[in-house]
Amino acid sequence: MEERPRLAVYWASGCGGCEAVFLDLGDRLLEIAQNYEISFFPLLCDTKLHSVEGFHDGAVDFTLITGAVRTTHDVAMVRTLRRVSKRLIAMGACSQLGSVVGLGNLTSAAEIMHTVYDGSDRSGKMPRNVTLTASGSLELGGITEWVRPLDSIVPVDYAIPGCPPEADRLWEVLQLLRTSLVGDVELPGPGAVLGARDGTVCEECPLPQPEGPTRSFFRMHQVAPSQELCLLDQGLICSGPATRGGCGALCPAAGAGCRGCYGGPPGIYDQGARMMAALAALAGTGDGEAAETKEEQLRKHVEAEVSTLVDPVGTLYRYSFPVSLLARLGQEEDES
Amino acid sequence: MKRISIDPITRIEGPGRVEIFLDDSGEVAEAYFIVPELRAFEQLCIGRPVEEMPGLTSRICGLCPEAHQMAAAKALDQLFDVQPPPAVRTIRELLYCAFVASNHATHFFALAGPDFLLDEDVAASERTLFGVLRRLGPEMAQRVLDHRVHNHRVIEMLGGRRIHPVAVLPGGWSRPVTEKMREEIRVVARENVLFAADCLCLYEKMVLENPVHRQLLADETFSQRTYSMGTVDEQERLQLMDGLLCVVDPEGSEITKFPASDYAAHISERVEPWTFVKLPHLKSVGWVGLRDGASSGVYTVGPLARLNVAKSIATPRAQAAYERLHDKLGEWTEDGCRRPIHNRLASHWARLVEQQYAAERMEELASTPELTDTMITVRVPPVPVVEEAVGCVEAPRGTLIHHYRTDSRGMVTSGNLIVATTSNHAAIALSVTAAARDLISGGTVIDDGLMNRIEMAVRAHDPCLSCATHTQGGGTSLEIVVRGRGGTPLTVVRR
Repeated sequence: MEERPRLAVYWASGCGGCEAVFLDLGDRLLEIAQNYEISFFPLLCDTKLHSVEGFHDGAVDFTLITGAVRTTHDVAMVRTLRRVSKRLIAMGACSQLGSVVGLGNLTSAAEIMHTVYDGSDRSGKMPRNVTLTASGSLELGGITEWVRPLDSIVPVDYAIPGCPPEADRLWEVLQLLRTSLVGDVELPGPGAVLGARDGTVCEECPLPQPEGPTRSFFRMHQVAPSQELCLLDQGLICSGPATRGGCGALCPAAGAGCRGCYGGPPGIYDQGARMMAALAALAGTGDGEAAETKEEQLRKHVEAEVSTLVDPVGTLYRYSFPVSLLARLGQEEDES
Repeated sequence: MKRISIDPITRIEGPGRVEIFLDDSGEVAEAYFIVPELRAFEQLCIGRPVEEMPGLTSRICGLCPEAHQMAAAKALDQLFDVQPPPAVRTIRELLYCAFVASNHATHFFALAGPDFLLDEDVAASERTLFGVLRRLGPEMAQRVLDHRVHNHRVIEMLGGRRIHPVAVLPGGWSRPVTEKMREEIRVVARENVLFAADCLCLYEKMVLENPVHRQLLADETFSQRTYSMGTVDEQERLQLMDGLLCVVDPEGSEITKFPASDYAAHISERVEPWTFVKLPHLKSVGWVGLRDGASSGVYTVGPLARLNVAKSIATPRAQAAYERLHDKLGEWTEDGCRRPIHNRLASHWARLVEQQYAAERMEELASTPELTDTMITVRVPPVPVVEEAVGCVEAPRGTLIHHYRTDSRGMVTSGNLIVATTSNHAAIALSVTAAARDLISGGTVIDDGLMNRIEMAVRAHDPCLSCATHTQGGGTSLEIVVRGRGGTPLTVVRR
């Protein structure tokens, strides 16, 4: 039997949804098991950490890391996996962007610990990195000061976006990786995004494109969504214009606004800022005179529009706060 | 002092490990079940609009997002004081049944199945879903794989996405069900009913008729006599989404029944000086440490606990399967009541009984006229009319409680989430200790097979550490009780 490429899949601080995508592959999962030798995949296989630690450098061809890097345990695990992997891939929004776990960066690590544990009768105790028992020491680790994207901890070759990535996209990526080894195709350079489209969610959306003007937003429970109009035109916030496609616009098609899990489209470094720009443009549309000649009026429109968004950061940066310019500036100040 | 680590515990959801310390004579001195993860959803919820909670808390768990969404949905209905129209109630329950059927089958075949559907001495590398599928043969393997795909296709049709659906609104649903969808759903539901029945047959043949597994099901190592909690309707029947929480004692007598909104009056979250993890237990019984028995408030949730609590099941095939389970493994009291089953490995059988119920209920719901009714939203006030609410469902792994408080604008000020695996935390710790203690003694060869037996004690609870670590960051210390031959405690070591 010819040697198969080795594949590892490991969860840092995640929900397991990315791993569940493998189960959604149906009988294609069997092909993966045939085409790859699975070196490490705690959800499905019994390989233990001591075996992985014994792998030589680069022994695993492709390692997919899911989940956010939130704990010192996560940091140690991804460093080990980086060492033993030829190519390391950030799979899913947590690993690529920090995702909802990254909203924890709105508060400090210390505040998080207090929110989590102060409500209980904790008798002055907090989780400790190391606990000494009568028999020996138990290592637990702690949380890191900030949730950071995987590529700020270790070099990352590729990212597969999504919360979680769509099964068909994952399948395409796994096929691409495998065929690259037999020389049929060449992999893109490091840093590439795989399993996504270059356009935005809007370009894949079955609902009509936004027409504007959108001058105020409703909260999602205040509007019965219609399939006849763009959600933005219905006054429902949808991050489709600032989000990379590849999902097939499943959420807006179901009447739920996009929250941006595929991250910003190519060339966009701050997804929330991109969405703010899109909202500003929408506030001015349908009122050409205002947009062209009355800057003051346009500013008022945009202000009025944005002020009706009840949780701008939690909505526009739902999945990408840790990689936003704002968050990065804050962290750099903190570290300097 | 020798240390044995099982790191990570595999074929469960999320990262966890077991550490066992042996003394100089090779006996177990201490055993720990450690979860090195913290995501802090209680923090992430704060300041978010409460109507976003179904979408946000869904991310606690990608294996059971539907459970978190429905618990949050029920809390929203109450916060905004809205009644979901009949179509919405039907869609929600239908989606939930597809989810439970799929989730139970996933655990049975992919996670726990390799422990009992393969030969005992199979190599660790073969002890996987793939090994199981090879063993089952191509036809059944295809059905197992299709079952997940087809049910998640139903979830996508109803909820917009296969993983982390998006259609929940307070009192409503974001898109209607068409007749075309109904036809597709009916086909899936029919196959689910037949598939669940075949899974039960397969269990009888491959587990009950296998002397090794039959013995394990009778083995005291895997039996912890705790209280059981689950949801029932007014006729004491198994319920997954609505009803009252009921608790029975280790002998099967009901001790309390209450609406989930009263959970705080019945469940206390213990903080021990030696652990930072909350250990929920029954307030009325109290906390006496990590112990089982009627004097300990430790309780379990999940399929086995639910079937210990429920007196019957509303659908015929599941009812027959429920009776068969109790007849084979249970006991009867003098006045003709069923005694609870405490062997944790029986939870795999209980899971299949529930899978049968979910499938039959799904088929019923797929035929109801209101399913395709287009009245799927109601008028919802702009902000919540009450400031706190509790939503509760039976997740596949057990009772799940979401409790939110909001300010006058409907922004979350606090969220408390009691997930099934948290409730089972003490029981999992008990199971790990019992397995380590019984399986390891001076001179025991510690090999892969033995370590896997200890992991089997964990897997029986189908723990979801992704769910449990929405907050928890602590290691659980355990109590070791050294017993004499008759079971009398000789020494109790607490750490």
